[in-house]
Amino acid sequence: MKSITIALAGNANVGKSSIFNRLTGLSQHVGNWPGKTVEKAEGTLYFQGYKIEVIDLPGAYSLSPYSVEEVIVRDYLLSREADVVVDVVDASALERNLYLVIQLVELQAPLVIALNQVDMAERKGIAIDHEKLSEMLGVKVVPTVAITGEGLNELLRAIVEAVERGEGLTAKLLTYGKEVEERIRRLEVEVRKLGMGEKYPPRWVSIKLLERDPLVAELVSKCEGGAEVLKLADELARELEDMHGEPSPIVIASERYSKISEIVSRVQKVVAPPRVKWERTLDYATTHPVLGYVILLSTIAGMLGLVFYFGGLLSEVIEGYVGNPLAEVTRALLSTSLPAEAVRIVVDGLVMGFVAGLVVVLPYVVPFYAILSILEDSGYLARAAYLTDNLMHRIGLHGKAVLPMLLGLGCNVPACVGCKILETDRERMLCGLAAVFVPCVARTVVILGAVGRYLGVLPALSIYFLAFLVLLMVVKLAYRVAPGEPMDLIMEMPAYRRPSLRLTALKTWSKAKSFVVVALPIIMAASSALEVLSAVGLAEQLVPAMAPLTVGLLGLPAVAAIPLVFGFLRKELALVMLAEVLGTWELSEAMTPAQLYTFALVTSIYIPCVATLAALVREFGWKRAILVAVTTLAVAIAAGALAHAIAVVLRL
Amino acid sequence: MSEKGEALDCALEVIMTLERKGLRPDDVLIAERLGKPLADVRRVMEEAIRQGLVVKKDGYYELTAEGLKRVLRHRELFIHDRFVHGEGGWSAEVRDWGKHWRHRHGLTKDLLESFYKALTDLDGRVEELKPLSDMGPGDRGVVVSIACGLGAARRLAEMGLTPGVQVTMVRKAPLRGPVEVEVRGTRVILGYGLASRIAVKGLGGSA
Repeated sequence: MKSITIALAGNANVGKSSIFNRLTGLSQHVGNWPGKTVEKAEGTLYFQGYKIEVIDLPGAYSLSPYSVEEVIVRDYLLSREADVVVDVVDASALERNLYLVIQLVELQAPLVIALNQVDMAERKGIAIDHEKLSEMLGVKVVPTVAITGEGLNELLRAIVEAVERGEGLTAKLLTYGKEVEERIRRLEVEVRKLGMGEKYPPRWVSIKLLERDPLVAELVSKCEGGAEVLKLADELARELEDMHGEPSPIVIASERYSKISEIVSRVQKVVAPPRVKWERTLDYATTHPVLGYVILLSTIAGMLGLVFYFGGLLSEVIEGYVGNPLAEVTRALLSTSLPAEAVRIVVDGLVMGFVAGLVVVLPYVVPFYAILSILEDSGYLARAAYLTDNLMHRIGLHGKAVLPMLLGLGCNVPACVGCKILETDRERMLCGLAAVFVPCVARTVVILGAVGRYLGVLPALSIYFLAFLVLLMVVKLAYRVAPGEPMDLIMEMPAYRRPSLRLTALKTWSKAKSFVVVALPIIMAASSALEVLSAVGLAEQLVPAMAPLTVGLLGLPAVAAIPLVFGFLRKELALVMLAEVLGTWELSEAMTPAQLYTFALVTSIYIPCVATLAALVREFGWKRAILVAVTTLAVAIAAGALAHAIAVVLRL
Repeated sequence: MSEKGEALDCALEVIMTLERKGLRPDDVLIAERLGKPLADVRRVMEEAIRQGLVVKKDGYYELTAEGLKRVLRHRELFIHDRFVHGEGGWSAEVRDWGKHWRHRHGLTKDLLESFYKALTDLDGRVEELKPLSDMGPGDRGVVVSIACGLGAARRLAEMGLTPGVQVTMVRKAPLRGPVEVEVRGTRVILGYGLASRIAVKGLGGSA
């Protein structure tokens, strides 16, 4: 069978993933781009005797080299692996969306345009002459409504037809204003001489050089005679800057937009007053300075409630009907043939790790994915960011980070996963770092059980307060040292739209699937490793080995090493284990108030649990996940040592 | 600043704008642009000549190098105090402005150059500019300059916020929260800090 590879490109919020999901259905596979922490979704479909591979590129507004997503899109397009690039364009925001189109045209990508959300554009009173647009650009433009699937067959037909004919995929040359155009041409002549190969069209290279694109400049510098070309490019860019009084990337961006305005004025007519009534009312209410916050708080409370109510319910069901029977059966099967230690490792380590993964992670992550997808698709997330930007700014994050932070109060796992909604790598990392310091439910159990119960409500609250203080300090510090430019909130405010149940289910399914693949093995491995430790008797040796830390630095009983280490599996278990090693449930009989306080403080700061670590690995990669884990550990020990020192000084 | 000094800066800015348009300003033209009586303008211009800020040739005024410097410094000071340090203002003495912009406000050399260029090219009085964050809901304006890091400037340009584009304020969040503007048919939200560094020239409100 003949096969075609198509790549979907487009801005955020244009319904690109809806088109992807409509096209590929359950055949999709979600992973990461090699070496990157950005999601890569692929799928297959069959159409008119062709096997069509679909790749969903990350959302991008531009092909500049400054965000991970955009570099991925660009590198993929430059690899020329796709037979057709489908640019999904939001018909209701044509002008802004054409910015990416124009860059794909510059790159001479084999292009077909899906003019999506034509229904919404219509409701906003926008009429677009798609045939005229197609004529002006020289490529196929197919109107679609991804939510209902309208126009997708026509889109596929257009793709297949274009591939079969082998033409009509390359757009017409778009010329810019005289000043810029002249310089592009002058540079193009020189770039052509470099012979960079078909992958890099000379015109595109020239435009990029004028934009002072560092990645392209590096490519050119490697060519013979590249240095002279770079020098010429710099001179020409400087001329443009002198003429316009703006940095050349801004000059070129303005130039693209003026071309776009020209196109838009010829293909688009705005007839009726924009915005539909329910949409306008909802928009007004959810951004209202008073009502907006009420709605936001209810949404968050509702979300937390839903996630943890259903999560808890599901968790019990899975544990009772799947987890425990599974453990019993394995134990029964193995105990006849293997020594007791080995059985313990397999059952309590491997099997219970698997069960813990299913119990801790899935029940909470699945509803979370579904809700996040709904919030994002409906357009509410942008309103939440608008309302909370102010507050989040104070800790060095911005509005979009509010959701992960609040989720962290419940469980850090979805919080880490939620960091994905931030744009730049730098912000994602800061948010992830902040998220793991938010005291989750499991840590609340420890705080209440060890401190609240014996020392009262105020000391318990003070630990909460300290945890947030630590979060604030760590993130503020990271804000200063993290590489990259701090970014203020710049975000599109999409119009509200009804999310599709089918698409939500599809997205949730594929994301949950990929999460399980990454997280479960890590959780199982870690829990088996800890079982091995205790089986070979290393756990007992941990106590004296860690004494300098636990007793010396933190002033805890030596046996506290065990709950501290094993708390890594599940934080709420730390309390149970503490009771076990102390041999009493009356913790206050075996530990002083200061010790209880220090124990709770340390437990609530260091890396939440193995599931969170797994989530961090999934989102940020091993290196950064370990960096975060080590940071939390160091901060926890420092805070604990400080608490102990204060206690000693005050003779508590 | 004294009233007299202010009138002088006004007149100098008018001369500069006219010169950049290729026009030769005389007393009448300046008075017309300023909307002030001819006698007042004559008095101000005499003072300007005395301070060596302008010279008079065949009845037409020309800005001297000293005068140009004064206009630019005036504009720079205004933008700095109004846009970058905001309402709190900035009281300390700044010796080397280039250094101050670079180190304290993160402007790169290229951006700094373009910033000075924008100051020179400004059409009209710098006092007509205001931060985007000062526009009220429904107000329209034209983006004149953006005094922020290159990364943010680029991102803004990609979202359609390029110099010269018309923007409409949609709404503002309370307590210096972000602002929502309409630009090129889409709505974009911007953090307050960023919005306060975008200089716009007001066009008055729409409905």
